[in-house]
This record gives sequence, C-alpha cells and structure tokens, in this order.
Amino acid sequence: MTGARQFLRAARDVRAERAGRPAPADIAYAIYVGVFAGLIVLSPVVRLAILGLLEAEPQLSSPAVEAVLRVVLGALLTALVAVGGTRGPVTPTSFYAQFVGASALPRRLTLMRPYLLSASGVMVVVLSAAGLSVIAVSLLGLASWDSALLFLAAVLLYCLLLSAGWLLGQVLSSLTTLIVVVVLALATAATVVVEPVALVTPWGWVGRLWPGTVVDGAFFWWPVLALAATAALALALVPILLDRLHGPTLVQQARRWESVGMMTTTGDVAGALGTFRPPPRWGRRLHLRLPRSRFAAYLVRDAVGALRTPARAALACAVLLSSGWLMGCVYLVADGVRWAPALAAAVLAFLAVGVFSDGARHAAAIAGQPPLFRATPLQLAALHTPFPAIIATVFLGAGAALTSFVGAPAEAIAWAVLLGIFLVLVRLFDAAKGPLPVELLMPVPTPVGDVSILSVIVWQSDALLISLIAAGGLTWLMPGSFGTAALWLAASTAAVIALAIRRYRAADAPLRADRPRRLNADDAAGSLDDEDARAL
Amino acid sequence: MDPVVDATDVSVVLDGEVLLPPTSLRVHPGTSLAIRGRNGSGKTTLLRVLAGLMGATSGTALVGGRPVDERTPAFRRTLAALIGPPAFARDLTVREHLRFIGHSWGLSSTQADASADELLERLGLTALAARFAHELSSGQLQLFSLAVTLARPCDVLLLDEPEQRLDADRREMVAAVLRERVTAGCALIFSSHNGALISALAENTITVAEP
Repeated sequence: MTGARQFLRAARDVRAERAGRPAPADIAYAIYVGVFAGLIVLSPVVRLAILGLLEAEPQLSSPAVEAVLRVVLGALLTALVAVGGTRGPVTPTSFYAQFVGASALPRRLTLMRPYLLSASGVMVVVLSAAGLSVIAVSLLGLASWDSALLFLAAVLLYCLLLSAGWLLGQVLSSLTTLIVVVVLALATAATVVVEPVALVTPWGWVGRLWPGTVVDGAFFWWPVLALAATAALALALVPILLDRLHGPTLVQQARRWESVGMMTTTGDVAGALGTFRPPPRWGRRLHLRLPRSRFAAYLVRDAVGALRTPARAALACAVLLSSGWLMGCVYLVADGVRWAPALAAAVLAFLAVGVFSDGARHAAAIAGQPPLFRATPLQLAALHTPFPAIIATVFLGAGAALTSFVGAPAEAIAWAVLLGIFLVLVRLFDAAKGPLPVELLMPVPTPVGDVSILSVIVWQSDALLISLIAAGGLTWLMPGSFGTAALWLAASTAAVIALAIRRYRAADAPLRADRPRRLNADDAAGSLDDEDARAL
Repeated sequence: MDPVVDATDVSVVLDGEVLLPPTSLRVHPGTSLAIRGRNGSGKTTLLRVLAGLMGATSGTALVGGRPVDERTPAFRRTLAALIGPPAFARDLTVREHLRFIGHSWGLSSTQADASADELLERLGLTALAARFAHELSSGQLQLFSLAVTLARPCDVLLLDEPEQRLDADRREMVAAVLRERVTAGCALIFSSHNGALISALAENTITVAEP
C-alpha cells in the first residue's frame, strides 16, 4: 500500500507541475479576495438570515418545524442520489480520471481524495445552514447549548449519509437510481403523513432532535445512536462504492464538468446548462398527431417532446410541485423569513420551467438562419409558450394548494400560477441570449481587485436575477395590497415581453457587414410589426 | 418572363476587406445557376446576401421582384435556403421534422405525412425516419439538412455546396431530386466545387472572381 501511496503522490506532483504551482503571491491574493468577499457578500447575508430567524420565534418553537426538517432533509438525500448520475461526488479532472482512475490501483484508494473533498463541501453547506438556525434558536433562549450541540452532531452524522447517498447515485444505473429516488421520495412524504414512519428514517431522527422543541434535560439519545450506526454503515460502504465506480462514467462526468467550467468561464452558461440536458433516446414511436390549429399542433408537439425524456420531465414536475408548496409557505412563515421560501421557490421554478422550454430554445436557435418554418422565430417561441405555461400552472398551483390544508389562503394558488407563467416568459427571453459581449471583459480595477467578473456574472444570470427580483418584489408587496402586487407582476411581465421581443428581433436581423450580428445588439430592436405583436 | 432573382453588382466590404467582389446574376423560374469560385472567393457570402442573412454594402438584390428582406412574410414564402447546418429540434425525429415543417406551411396532417414520406424515400432516408438528429452520421445529416430545406414550398432555392460529405450515389440522388424541383418551376442557385453535380444540374454558371 505504501508503494501505491507513493505512486499517487508522484501522479499528483506531476499534475501540479503541469498545472503550474501557485506562487505565494497568488495564494496571498486569493486569501485577500476571500476575506473581502466574506466581509462584503457573506456577512450581510448571514446577518440578514439570523435577524429573519429571530423574528420567526413562534415558528422555530412550533412542533411543525420537525415535519419541515424531515421533508427538507429527506428531499436533500433524494436530490443528491438523483444528481449522482449526472454529477457525482467523485469528479476529478479528466486527466486524473483517465490515467489514475484507470490504473491498477484500487479505486477506493485513487478516488478517496476527490470523494472526501466533495463530502466536506456537503458538510460545510448543510452544517452552515443548521448552524445559523441553531444560533437563532439559542439567541432566542429556546434551546440549551447541549441540545443545540446534539442537533449539530446529528446533522454532521446525517451529512455522512448524504455524501454516501450522492456516491450511490453515481454508482447505480439510471433505472436503479430512479427506483431508489422514488422510494426515498415516497418515504420522505410518508414521514409527514404517517408519523410513525419518522421513527425509522434518518431524516426523522434528525428532526426529532430539533433543539427548538426539545424539552431541557429530556435528550433523545437513541436518534443520535441510530444516526451514528447508519453513518458508520454508510462510511463502511464508501470504499466498496468507490471500487464499483465505472471508468467510462468517471471520464464522462469529468469531461462534462470541465466543459461546463470552461463554458461558464467564457460566459456560455446556456452551453454549460445544455451539457446537462440528456438527448432523447426513447419514445420515437410515439405518434405525433398534428391538429389543424397551429396552437394545438405546437402544444401536442411539445408534450410529445417532453415525454421523450421522461425522467427529466418527471423530475421537473416534482420540482415545480415543491416550488408551489414553497410559494404557499410564504404565507405561513414570519415576515422576516418570508423571502427565503419565496426566493427558493423562484429559483426552483425557474430551473424546472427550463426543462419544458426546449421549444423556445429551438426557436431561438433558428433565428438568423434561412427560414424552415412559416412563422418567424419570435412567433415560434410564442407558439412554444402554452405547453410550459400549462405545466407550470398545474404543478405550481397544485403545490400551493397543498399548503391550503395547513392554513395558507387560496390567493397563494393564484400567485403561484401567475408567477409560473411569468417565469415561462423569462425562459422565453433567456432562450434568445447571444454570446457574451466582449466589452464586459474589460478590466474594472477597484481597491479589492478587478471586479469585471461582477458584470459578467450579472449578464450571465440576468434571467435568474429578473426572476428573483420579480418574486422578491411580489413577496414584499403581497401581504399589503393585492392591487399593488398585481401591478408589480403585470409591469414585470410587460418588461420581460418587451425584452424578449427585442432579443428575438435582434437575433433574426440580417447581418450587416459594417455591424456584426450580436443577439442582444441595441440597434437591432425596432418597433413591433403586426405579426410579432399578434404572436405574443 | 421576369427573373425571379436579379442581383446587380452586389458586393460586401467589411472594414476594407472585400468579402464579395461586385457580382451580378439573373435567374428565371424553372432554371438553375451554379456559382463557382475558389475557396474564400465569396460564394457563400453571395448566397447569404440573396437569402437576406447579410446586407450588401453596395449593389441591389431583388427576389420575386422585391428587395431582399427576410423579415417580410412574402420573402420568407418565396425563398428556401441551405447555407450551413440548420438547427434541429432535439426532441423530434427525422420524419417528424419534415411533417412539422410541411404542416407549418399549411399542409394538412395527411398531406404533411405523404409529403414527408415521399421526400424520405427520394433521398434514401426512409430507414432513418425514426431517428433523432443526434443519431445521424455527418453524411446522413447533410441529406437530412437537404430534406428539411426541400420539405417547405418555395419559388427560389439556394444551396451552399449541397454535395458536401455525400458519396457519388447520394450526389446523383440529390441531383435527380433537385432537377425535378427545377422542372416544376423552382429557380435553383447553388454553389459547388463538384463538376459532375454542376454538369447534371446547372443550365448556367457564374464564377465569383477572387477578391
């Protein structure tokens, strides 16, 4: 084994030499930037989160927290297992995956370090969130320090399980993963509906230890012991799972992740996200009937298209349902933390609606090409809008409706549906995004270094930011006046439609020799012609 | 009979670089014209100008008696073109692409089916009808690109090197299909480096001079 370790060390040294070892000045600069980023970005967020949580005293000490924790933790495990097949915890560089992963050494040895790195990332994120909640509960005097520490210990043990679950998703075949994901999702739902199920699930054990509801002195040691036993089992399984990782899967995921990193660095986020869209492989025999009405024909065409990647469509529907539930939860939590479910719901719905926006992306892709279809790209994009709008309406509405059983008003359903339709239009706008304008790469020197990256990030994530701003504004206005909130959403919708029209028309404008094409060129937007106006 | 495509001294100059030297051509309905020239001479640029994908910096280009403007519905109806690979829908099969394009131009479902099947057979793609675009080889993709371009009605057809990546048998097959279109009244303008295809199809040729 010593020889193996020497081999690994030598391989890592060669790789480090190839990549160029960072100079001490580089390390110092990274620390300098990290400290400033922490002070400028992270500390206000942490402060805001704690202040918000402090306002939520009744909710934090409510018995309902335990159920919410069960759902969140169960859903997290389910999501990590589901994600494993696309991006598992073991995703080294393709060089490492090819030459070290494929060596004669056991993979439990060669791949342990990348796994531990990913596992520690999970731990940092989950423990940070748990730590914030525990700080708030302790400051409110709802919990003693020992019950808080016990809860954090339970979360730590659960993190070991999460990482192992993520690895399991990377090892299993897609069919087996689907089965495991369905079982976990059902078990998560069961822990809420059937209380005794919570006694036999790890996320139920963690929920049991929530310090806000634990009575002082009455520690539940058995959930910690059960979690410790489960985590020990998971740890024992890790080397076995690492040995069972398939070489081609490792290389494929490593290459995909590298290309995602490269595309993101160069501003091609759409391309990066595209690498996660699985191409359809089945459902080719599904008969595509073409009704005479164009509207109906595109609706049927989009539905058949979605059915051809069933796992992706099913996952998106589940995410939309969860997002709708979170939108309903906005009415159930304290004012100070209302933004948290609202923004989480907007992000989830934005991602899920994207799954049903392949049609809009195709419409944008044919812009600037000789016409194959009678309709213009903008009209085509508009014709591809009803299907995702219907899906968003059904699943977001259903998710929000679930919260009406626990006290959310019926208007939550209306807001969820309207926000869903708005996000479909944002996706339509996002589909026609062009390449990154080179002007954004110009250096912007400041005392904390070059901040040109900020404008690049804003440009890359404009659609998501628009979604968050719209959802945030809506959440802020909703409790006050229905009319003002409706006006805000209507104005946001009108702005997004105008921006979308501008982008599609620019993308389809003829290339001028003296003015090269850029999809979002300012000059290319003109007045609406009648056909485009009717299309929207 | 008036020419359906009439270009007079069209040229494209970008920042002093001549992408297309002044070129003129006239094509009547039911006739075909081959554009010849060395690599980089401006053949594709000329086709892009005629298709309305790029503005000429000088000269005039008329299609169907009207100035080239790909934003007008009448122009879009008149002209079909294959200049570079088209963007395919990731979730439609080969046959569905053809059906959907036909349907979008007003064919009924039955007519779109029949038209798609005929085109697939004529281009030797019937066996690939149920494949998705990402499951085709480069030669098959070229045939499919031609098929989607021919699936829509048009009075003027522009093709940029339609023989790309095709073997001799497929080139003959494509030439026969295009010849039928011309006989039916379509005006065909194509660029090519293949002498056999030009001999089989073109009634007239022009050579774009090197810039």
